[in-house]
Amino acid sequence: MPAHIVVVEDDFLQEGPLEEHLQNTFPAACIETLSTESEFRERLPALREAKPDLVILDVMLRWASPRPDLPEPPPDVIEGDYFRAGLRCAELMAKDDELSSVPVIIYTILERSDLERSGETMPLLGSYVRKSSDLHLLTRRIRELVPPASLKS
Amino acid sequence: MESVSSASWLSRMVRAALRGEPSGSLDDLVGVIGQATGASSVILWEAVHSQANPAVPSVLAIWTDGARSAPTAPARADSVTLAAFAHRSLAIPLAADESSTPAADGHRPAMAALPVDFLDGGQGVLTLHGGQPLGNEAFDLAVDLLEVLPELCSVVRDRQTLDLVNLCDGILREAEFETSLLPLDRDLLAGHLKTLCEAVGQSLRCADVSIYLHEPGEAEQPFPLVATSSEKSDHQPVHVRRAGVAGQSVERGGPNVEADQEEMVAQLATGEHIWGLISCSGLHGPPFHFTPADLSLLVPVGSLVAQHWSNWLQRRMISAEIESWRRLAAAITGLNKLVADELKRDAPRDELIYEKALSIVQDVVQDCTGAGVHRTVSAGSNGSRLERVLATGSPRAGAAVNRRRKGETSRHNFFAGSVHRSKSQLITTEDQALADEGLDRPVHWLIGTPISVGEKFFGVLEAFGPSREVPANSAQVCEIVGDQIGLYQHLQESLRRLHETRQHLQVTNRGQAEALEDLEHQLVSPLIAATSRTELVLKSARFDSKTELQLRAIRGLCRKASRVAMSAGVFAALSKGASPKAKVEVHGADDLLRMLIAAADDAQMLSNPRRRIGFDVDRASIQGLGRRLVSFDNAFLEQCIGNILDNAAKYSYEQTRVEISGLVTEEVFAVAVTSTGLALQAEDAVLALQRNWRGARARNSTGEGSGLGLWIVDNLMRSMQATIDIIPADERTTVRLSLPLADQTRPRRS
Repeated sequence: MPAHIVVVEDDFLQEGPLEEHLQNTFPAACIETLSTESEFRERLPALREAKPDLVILDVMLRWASPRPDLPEPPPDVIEGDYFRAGLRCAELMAKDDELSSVPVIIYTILERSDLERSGETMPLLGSYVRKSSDLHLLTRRIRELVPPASLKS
Repeated sequence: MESVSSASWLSRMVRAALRGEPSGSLDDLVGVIGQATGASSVILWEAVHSQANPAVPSVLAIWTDGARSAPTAPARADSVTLAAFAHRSLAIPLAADESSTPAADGHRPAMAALPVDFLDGGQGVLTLHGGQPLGNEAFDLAVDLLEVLPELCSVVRDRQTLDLVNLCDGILREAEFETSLLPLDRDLLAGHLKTLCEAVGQSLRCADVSIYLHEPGEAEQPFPLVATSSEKSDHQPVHVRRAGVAGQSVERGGPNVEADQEEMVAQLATGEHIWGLISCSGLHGPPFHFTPADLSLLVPVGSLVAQHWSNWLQRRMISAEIESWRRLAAAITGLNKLVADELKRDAPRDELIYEKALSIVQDVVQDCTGAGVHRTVSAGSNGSRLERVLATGSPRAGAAVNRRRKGETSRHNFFAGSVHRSKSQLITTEDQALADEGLDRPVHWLIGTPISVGEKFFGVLEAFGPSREVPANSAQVCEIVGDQIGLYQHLQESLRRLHETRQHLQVTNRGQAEALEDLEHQLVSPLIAATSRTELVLKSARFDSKTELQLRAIRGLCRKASRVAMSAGVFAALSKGASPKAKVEVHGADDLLRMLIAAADDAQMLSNPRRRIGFDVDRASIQGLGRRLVSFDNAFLEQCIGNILDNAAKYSYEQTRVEISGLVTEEVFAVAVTSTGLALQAEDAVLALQRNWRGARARNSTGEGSGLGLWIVDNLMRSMQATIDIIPADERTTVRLSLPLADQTRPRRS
């Protein structure tokens, strides 16, 4: 069965090249891109039904794109703000019986030490990759976390 | 003798006893018997006992036939009366001798004497006087009436007591009502008590009724005179011994003077505490001596007076406390103002704060004659020690205070040391402890209070005074003032630390700002080169549409990166307190239009195509500037327009347009950027220009933004003598940049 990789990235300037790179590197994989935290939360029930093989999370994420019927953010989002949205998404998965076993890559421009200094912790099955124009490291980490067969099939 | 029935005389007696105002008297009662028996006068005797003498008959009531002059009480009982007392039976005179002999005091000879047993156990005799022996009918009548006499005597006495108590109660109530909130002035109270003494004197037929009372804090005995009904002015304070015929015996100024029936004293007490006494003397009417009945009349009056005195003292104490709290509140306000003023200074003057605090303690605490402050000072490896920094005192305690000098740390610090160690308030009234502190009499109390905030200890506040009791609210007042000084010390320390931290932060910020500026310089140059080269490539050859789009996107990214780098530089300069320096030049409509089209193109290239937001420049409105020129710094305006378009792209709804237009007026040329998206509240329009401000809706929806973009734009516009206005209208927001028109005579930039 082909691998299902979910990318949560709100910057379209990065999201396009990233998706293109992943699709070129893993042609058999299904790459799904979500661009806001609210979109990710809305997708959670469906992801429980069809568990992805990997979720790549940006850290600084919009709650939603502006629109007249903008969904109201829940209290934890208001309190936690936009700067750590990706970690909230990872935490939601870690607390979810169905999704806690899905590996996560925290893919961010932020230094790992900055995240840890501000009291944030990486998800248990999480892996940290610093954003870079060189996508080799991300590719290697994906290969470590996703069964090779599903990437090749 | 009237010829009426026994029942009728009984009825008259009862009416006499139960008469309303004024109450019936014992004289009235015996008068009815006199009229019933045809006697010319009647005397009711009672046996009075004293410690030294056997029972002596004493006149209790007397009645004389109306035809005669006012009744006069005999000095002693006649033989018939004495016989009746002795045998407790009827006594009549022998036929030949006494019945025909007028008595020396003007009364006719005794016709008969009949024993009376009072309800309180006392023994009495009723003696009937007249010119003839008592007839059988009259005798029977007398016996009938004597059967109810004891009960009626008791009723009359109770009513007299009640009347007197009511009268006194009325006098004291009047005193209560004289002032509604504050306790009555002591002299006025003494006036009411004098009225009370006069009322008692009138009721008991004595010329001198005096009230002696002491106040808390005074020596209990001898009691000083407070009020008297007497005209005499030689009343001495009295001592009370708990014994005597009339309940108490008194000593006037020294040697024992036994109380006797010519003086009656009742103690004025509440609970176990004796406040003083009320004494009666100078009898001016029969029976010329006090009886147990009189004492029972005086005792409830004494209780009333004692209760009133106790209440008055309580009220006065509460009033004094309220007054002292009021003064404390006012003084604390003054102290806080002084603290605020001193904390503004580079070197706050602790002495002024201490002086003010000590003056508050002395002013507010009753009977406080001196106060002082000890401050903790570092003792190196030995921790800390106390040092006296200030002491004040009134002349009354001058001898004590003079010994307490600034900086003194030797033997007179025991008490403050104890407070230091216990970290709690201590109070002493022990003579030895006071002497150890160098406080001689008349100091009788000393309070030591920690000057602290939480666990932080700064010193000890001391207060002392001469009263025998520690003043009521002194401990609390000292605690409050101690806390205030502690708070001052704490604030002073905190401010000093804050100042140091601020200095450190300023140094750090300056370093960071310089680093940011350096980064900006390093970044901007290559980015400008990258933009120029991309521009050159785009102009020098023709490309397929996809490549051209990529190249334009790269150019847009380079310009955006330049703007961010420049924003970092401006942010760094503003953080250091410096203002951006604009290089203002004059520009025409073409320059402006070119810049706006390039900015709109970049914004379009960097906008997410899925959201389909369009950026349009209204060329005609920009060209409306005509031949007039506008003053601005090109790089700054590019920066401003870029930031505003970034915001528009960030907060616009999908499938909307961002319109860039121009409007020329007499003085300015305004560039307006209008977008449709998340609504900005009208009251937030000005706030949006503040550093780090983010609108609630933007923060809670997209969550993006640092709140720096518009702040930087505002500062850049100011540096060009230009202005920015934000005009929200529901979901449409217009940001207007107003640029000054240049002098037409200036040459246009080539």
